[in-house]
Amino acid sequence: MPALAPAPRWLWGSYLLFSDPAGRPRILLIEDDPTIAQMYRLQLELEEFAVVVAADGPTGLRAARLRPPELILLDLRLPGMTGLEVLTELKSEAATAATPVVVLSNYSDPSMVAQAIQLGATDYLVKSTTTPLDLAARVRALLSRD
Amino acid sequence: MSDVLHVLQAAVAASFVLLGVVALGEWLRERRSSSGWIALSIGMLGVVAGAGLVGTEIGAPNSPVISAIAVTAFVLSAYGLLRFRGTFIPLGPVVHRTALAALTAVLILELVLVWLPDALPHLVAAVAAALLVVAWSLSVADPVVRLALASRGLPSVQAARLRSLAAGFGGLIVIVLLAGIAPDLERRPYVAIAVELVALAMAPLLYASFAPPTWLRRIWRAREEERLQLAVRELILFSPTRRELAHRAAEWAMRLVGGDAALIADADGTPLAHEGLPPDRARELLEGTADGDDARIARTGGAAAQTAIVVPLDLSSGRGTLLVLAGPYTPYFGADELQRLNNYAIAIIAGLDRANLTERLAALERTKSEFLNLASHELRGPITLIRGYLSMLAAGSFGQIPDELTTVLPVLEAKADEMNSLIEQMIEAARLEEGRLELHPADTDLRELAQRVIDTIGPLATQTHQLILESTADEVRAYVDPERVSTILSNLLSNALKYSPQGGEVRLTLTADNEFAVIAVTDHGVGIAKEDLKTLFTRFGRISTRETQHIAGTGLGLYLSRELAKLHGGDLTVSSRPGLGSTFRVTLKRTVGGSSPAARAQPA
Repeated sequence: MPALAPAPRWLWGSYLLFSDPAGRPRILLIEDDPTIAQMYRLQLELEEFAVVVAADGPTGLRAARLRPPELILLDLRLPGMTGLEVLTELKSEAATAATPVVVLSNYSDPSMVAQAIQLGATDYLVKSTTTPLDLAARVRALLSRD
Repeated sequence: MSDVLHVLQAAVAASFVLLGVVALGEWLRERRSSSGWIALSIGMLGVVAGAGLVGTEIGAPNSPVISAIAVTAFVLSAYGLLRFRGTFIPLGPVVHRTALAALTAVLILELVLVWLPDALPHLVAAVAAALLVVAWSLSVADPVVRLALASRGLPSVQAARLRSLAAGFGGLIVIVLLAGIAPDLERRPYVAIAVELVALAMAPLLYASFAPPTWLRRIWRAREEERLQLAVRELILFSPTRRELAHRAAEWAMRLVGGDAALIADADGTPLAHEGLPPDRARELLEGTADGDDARIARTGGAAAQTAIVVPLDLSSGRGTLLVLAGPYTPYFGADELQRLNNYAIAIIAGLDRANLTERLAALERTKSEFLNLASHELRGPITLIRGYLSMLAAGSFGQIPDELTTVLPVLEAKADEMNSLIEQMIEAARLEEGRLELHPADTDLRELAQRVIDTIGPLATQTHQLILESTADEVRAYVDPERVSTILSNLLSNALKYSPQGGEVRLTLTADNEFAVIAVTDHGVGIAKEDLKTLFTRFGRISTRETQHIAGTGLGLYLSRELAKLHGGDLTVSSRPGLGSTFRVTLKRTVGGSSPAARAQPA
């Protein structure tokens, strides 16, 4: 199953150069665990979304700034820059402020959830209770709402 | 009038002689240089007073022998006081030599005048007398001022002792100066009586300075005692850490005995606190004072040997040490100081042991929080992947799966779900203990909720089980946290299935009155023995019997379920008959927290 291999690094760069040729909705997944990223990506791609994975906050921010995607999935525990910091940046910049951000984290503290929603997150999903199919359904629901 | 004066003079002389004797006695008892010098000084004052008295009694007040003795004693009293001051405010060698030379010179001059009153002109005699007064006054005034200054910041008893010594000698200086400057004045009877009265008043002051009676010491100490008790209380009850506590304790130990530096060492010999001395010296001191079982006064080793009080601290972790060093401003340490420090050490021991316990508890709390973090992340990560891929497999994301796999997949999924709910329960229990668990109540139909739980639990049932929902009404509305109530119900249902391995009916009954909703889960499984019911709801209180030991579980479920029910203003109870089955009964208040939309709910 070659699709299960972690996304190659160059893919993040390629995202900056061309839009999805098939015109599929673009999802930016900011997630540091490659196995988890790959799993969600697999299902999202099966359901006709274009997915790009960024393994840390700054990479994700750079990608979002150059070509704002239709939706951002954001992990909170990230190396270097935390997810909440990334969220704050995204919401403070004109180019990305309108892009819906869904937090996808294994933190489930009520205080953490409240903080993320307050910072402008559209939704908060706990990974361990969100199967890839759940996620794809949620993403579809959010995008069709607009 | 002269009779009164005579009696007074006799009283003054007698009291100073007595003082001298007592001072000598004190010195004989303690044999320290400081008490020796003060005994010399006061004893010589007694000799001066006694000489005057004897001279008057034998009718020869101007006898040269008596005069010589009086003058010599007078000069010696100043020198004694100066040396006393030197025992704890070191006397510079230049000052010492100058004072000694001046006093000796004046003494020799006076002795010459006593033996040969006509050998020198009258003017020289007057000058010599004036010099004597000046030399004496200066030699006494220096210690008086220095002792008064040094008394500041000392423990109250020492401060009071030094102050009364300073006041006593200060009064004597006034008398001597008055006699020296205006000898005529003293011939007037009233002035003479006043002078004698002042002299008489100085005697008890001086007495209090070197041998204060216990009652006086208690009065002096009273205010400080109050502060000490407060400090001890604070020490034992409130000091946050051992280091902080040791730091404060050392400071008070120093104050208590007027020491110059103090240190407290832990059972392993590391200094916990060192006040007024560098860490290197602290370590050196600890090595220098070999272990002993009792509190004692010791001399420290090294070039600059000092007196120290060493008190062993019998901590629960071993023997520590409290050590207080005498400083240049501290009068010698005595039995009183030793006793006080020994009593104080008991408080230090209690405090340090308590802080030890508090620190360990705090560390345990931290470990628990860290565990929560670990559970939420390190365990949730893998289970996310396992459940995710299983659901994708089942949904056909990887294409058609072989038939053999379709029978295995639901079991894998159910087991992964079970593991996930175990993890969630661990996190919930940890949150509950931290008091961080909050309910998110919403208007809920309990019947619908129960049905949903039964649907998700279904795959865990074997073919011999029948899951039955029974409700007295079509709809039972309550204002509860739906997720937490689901947790309770799925716990009870999965337990009922687990502990009835032979199968049978598992019945969920839902009833309600105006105030409470009651959900009962009944099985026909192995049941619970009476003696095991007590531990059933405690954390990790899983019961292991021959029938149940093969069944997996953490024992957290019932504990958590009951706590959640309690948060809903209700409870979780059980009735069971071994071998016949159990009934778990959850009561939930239909309106959590008083006001709620459930007020409009239909009573069932």
